[in-house]
Formats: sequence, C-alpha cells, structure tokens
Amino acid sequence: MRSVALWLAAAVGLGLAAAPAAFGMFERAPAGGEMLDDFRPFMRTEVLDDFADHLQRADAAATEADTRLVEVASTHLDVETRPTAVDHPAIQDLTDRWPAASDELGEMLGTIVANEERFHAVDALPPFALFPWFFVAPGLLATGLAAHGLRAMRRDPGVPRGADAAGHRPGTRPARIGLAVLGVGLIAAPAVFGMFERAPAGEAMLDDFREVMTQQTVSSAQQAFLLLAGAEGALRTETLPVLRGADVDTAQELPAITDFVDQWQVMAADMSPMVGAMSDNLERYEGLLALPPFGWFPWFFVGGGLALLASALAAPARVRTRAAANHPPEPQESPDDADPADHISAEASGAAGDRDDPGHGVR
Amino acid sequence: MTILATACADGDQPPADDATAGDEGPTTNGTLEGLLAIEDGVCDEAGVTSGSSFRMVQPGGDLEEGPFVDNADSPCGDTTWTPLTAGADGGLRLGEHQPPPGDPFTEDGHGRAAAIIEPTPFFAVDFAVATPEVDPQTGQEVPPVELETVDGDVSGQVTAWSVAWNEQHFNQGAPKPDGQLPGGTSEPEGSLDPETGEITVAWTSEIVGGPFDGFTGLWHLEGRLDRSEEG
Repeated sequence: MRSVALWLAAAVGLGLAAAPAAFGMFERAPAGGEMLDDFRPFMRTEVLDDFADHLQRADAAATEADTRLVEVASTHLDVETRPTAVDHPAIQDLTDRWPAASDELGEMLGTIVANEERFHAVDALPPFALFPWFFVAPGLLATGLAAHGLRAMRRDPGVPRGADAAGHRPGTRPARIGLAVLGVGLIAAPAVFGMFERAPAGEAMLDDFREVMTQQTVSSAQQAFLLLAGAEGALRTETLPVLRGADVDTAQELPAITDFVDQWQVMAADMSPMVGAMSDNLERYEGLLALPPFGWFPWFFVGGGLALLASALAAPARVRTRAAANHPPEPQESPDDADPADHISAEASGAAGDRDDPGHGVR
Repeated sequence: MTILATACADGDQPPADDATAGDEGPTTNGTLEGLLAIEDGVCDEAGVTSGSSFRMVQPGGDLEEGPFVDNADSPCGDTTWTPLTAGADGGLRLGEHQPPPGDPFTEDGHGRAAAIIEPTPFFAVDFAVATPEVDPQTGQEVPPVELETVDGDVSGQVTAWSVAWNEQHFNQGAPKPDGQLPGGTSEPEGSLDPETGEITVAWTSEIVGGPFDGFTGLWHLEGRLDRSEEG
C-alpha cells in the first residue's frame, strides 16, 4: 500500500507534463511572448507621454479649427478665397468627429498607462516560450523517478540485491531523494521568479485590456488616424497656404493648427505602429485569455511540488525482505551477479506483487 | 527562349515559351519578359484619367463604390486617386527582383525605393514600391513578378510587390506570399496589344496586419512592354 505515494507522484508528474498540451500552451505561450515583444517599444513612460502629447495637440487643433479658423479666414481672406481655407470636408470632420474619437483614444491610452508597470512585471518573467517546458520537464522527471521507485519495489524475490545485514534494501531511496529535491524546487520556483507578484499583475493587465484589444477598438483607432490624416492634409495643402498667401502669420494666428501640421509626421510615425501592434496581436491576446488565469500559475508549481514532496516522504524508506527476516541472507555476491529480489513486508501476508512466490507481499 | 509569331492565319502556330513585343513582330502567347515601362498617371477633377494609379478602399468597402481613402497629397481633384510616376528603372521589370536600398527609409520615415515608381506622398509621408526577394512584411521568400499573355489577355502574379511607408512594410502583392488571396485580394489581370506593346495590368491586394489591416489597395499600371530591357 505504501506504493500509493509513488503512484501519486507518478500521477502528479503526468499531470504536469500533460498540462501544456491540455491548455494549448505550446501555441499560446510563444504567441504571448511575441505579443510582449510587439508592445515593448510602446510601454515606456516617455513614449506614452508622447502619445498623450499627440492627443492634446490634435485636440487643440480641432478646437482651434472650430473656434478660430473661420474668424481668421474672415479677417484676412476675401469672400472668394475664404472657402478654400475653411470649407473642406476633412476639416469639418475634424471639428465634428474628433472630440468623440479623442475621448475613446484617451480612454485607451489611460488603460495602457495604468498597466505600464504590470507589463514590465510580466516582461521580467522567463521567456513565455519556455513556460510549457517548465511543466513538461519536471513532470517527466517526476514520473520517471516515481516509476524507478515503483520498479525497485517490485523486483523478483530471491536474494535481495544490495541488502544490508538486516535484510533491508534501499531500493526506493534514489527515487525518494529525487522526488523530494524536485518537489522543493517546484515549491521554490515561484518565489525565485517573483511569480507571486508578477503573475497576478499579468492577470490584472489582461483583464484591463479586454476593452482595448478588440477589433472594434482597432477599427476606431484606424478611423481616428484617417480623420487626423485627412484633416492634416487639408490644412497643410489648402488652409495654411491660402492664409500664408494672404500674409497671415499662421504660427501667430493659428498656433495649434500650425503645430499640428508641423508635427504630423512625428505623430503618424508614433501612432501608426501602435495601431499596427494592436491589430497584429488580437489573436495572440485571445490565446492568452484562453489559458488558466495567470494568478493560478504559481500555485500550480507549489501544489505540484508539495504533492511530490509528500510522496517522497510517504514512500517506503527501506523494505525488509521476508526472506531476510526469516533467514539470514546469503553472503553477498557481486551486484552484477546477484539475482533481483522483491520487496517483502514482514507484516504483509498474501499481498499481491510477487508472481513467483505468492507468500511474499508488498506494502 | 524567344519564338517569333507569324501572320499565318491557319492557327497552327506552335506554343511560345516567351512572348515579346515591338521590333521582332507581334506578341505571341506566353510569359512576358522585359520592362513594363510605366506611363505616368495623369489627373483631372475626376481623378486619374490615364496612366498608372493607386487607390485604397477602407475596410468593408466596395472596390467600385468605396468608401475610398482620401490622400490630401494627391494632385487630383478627386484625392482618392493617387497618380504614379515611373521610377529610375522606368517601371516594373518582369522576371527580375527590384529590391529597395539597404536602408529602405529616410530619417523621417519616407520610403526610399525609387526604381519602379518614384516615392509618392501619402498622408504627408512618401510610400515607395519594390519587389525584393524576401517580403519584408512576412519574411517569406517571394518570386519576381511574372506576367503572361494568352490571346492578348494578361495574367500572372505580383506577389513580390511591397510598399514601404512610415517605417513600415505592407505586402501589396497578389497572391500573397503564402499563396492566398485574402479578403479583397485579386490576381492581376490586364491586356496587351501585340502590335504596339501597350499593356495594362491591375490587381487588388488587401493589407493583412499592421495599422492598415483590412484596407485594400487598388493598383493600376499602364505602359508599354519594352523587350529591349529584357534581362
């Protein structure tokens, strides 16, 4: 019956080894790593500050287009040229649609900023592509150690190999020691890698991004980009040239619009890759959501480690053969020549386990 | 290998492996070689009325009805049309790759490749076109552009057609490097006048990934097949 501990260890090992396949980790974990790679360039304070500045710049330009542009055009342009400067659909779109688009982008940016630290915490974990193997490797090792111990408990009867003078044989000792070390290692791993803090942070970050990482949000961001690009083009190619042609100091009269046009290339260079990263990672994000909650992962290791440690402690330390109990052992032969001997409990009688000698039993 | 077509009316001409035009006689069926010398796009209030052009359809839009993307940098009255201008090579080399420069972007993110078409402003940033051996967006090896003609109809593949804009790459070929025709992507079709070598070819290519994911590019090349530029 004491083999139950080793069977438990084998089951835990198989469970650990099979978990990645069961949860699709071999595909989802590396994809998650790629997602982190794609977002890493943006998850820096200075970059996020730039995004905030771009939004404010666009807000100011839209407000100025709504409140000052017509006045400036009316003051400096004649009736014939005035429409060229102000009556462009893209400029009208900017004043009409940008406030709502800005609010939406602002919320998205706020979510990203709020999760900057969580992102870096998750990014500090070992590479995601390795995560499945953190289960498979110890799982297979535990299974192998347990199998070794069980096999040692089921050797054929006869002269016990390696038995001491009292007839005890340490057949399961290597397996027990290995399982104990492995168990302690699994228990310690989450603490070593800071998983108790980082994994819950990752879970919280994924939850926060549920409203951000959607096709709808990506589409909104694309439309916002088109809105700004269209307005910038109209302001740059029509409004400002017409006003400057009338000797208007546009930097003085329309500073926000002038600044928006001047900075557009920088804005486009910053914004479009971010939209691209969101678009490219929608599926990878959904893959991470399909995994068990990140906060559970440290406890998978701890639970598995405790089970292995308990198995190691509960497994039979030494087994006294019945033959040794009833008869003094034969002089020791060379280990290579000794016949394999089964483990026999002096207390067990008639227990299953020995095909050749039904009188032996295994506990 | 070049096989000259004759004016025989019996129709028993052997199939041609390569088709040519110009000085050596009318074009026969087969693979086109040489340079598709691009005719510059010409605008009026309605858009591009002749020559080569580019348009972009917004996600979910119709290839005929739009909605199309406005490019304020277009000189056309209808700014959804962007005219293309022949590049340093004069146009598109058939059967040969035309890679971009080692650094495909300027400091400001403008595309630098200028062999096929001149870099063209789009949203204030120039886009550039190249046909490299490895598609920069997908990282996959791609064949050079190949077109063929059968009875004056042109078809083929433009898989290597790659656009560089604002420090990003977009494959605008058809089929895509993985051989698929996603969304609004359609293989090139066109016509070739066997007597004059005048050629048109057009295709559509949906952008997969990146900030313009789901947008579809409509490419239209007009020009003349110049066999003297055969590689």
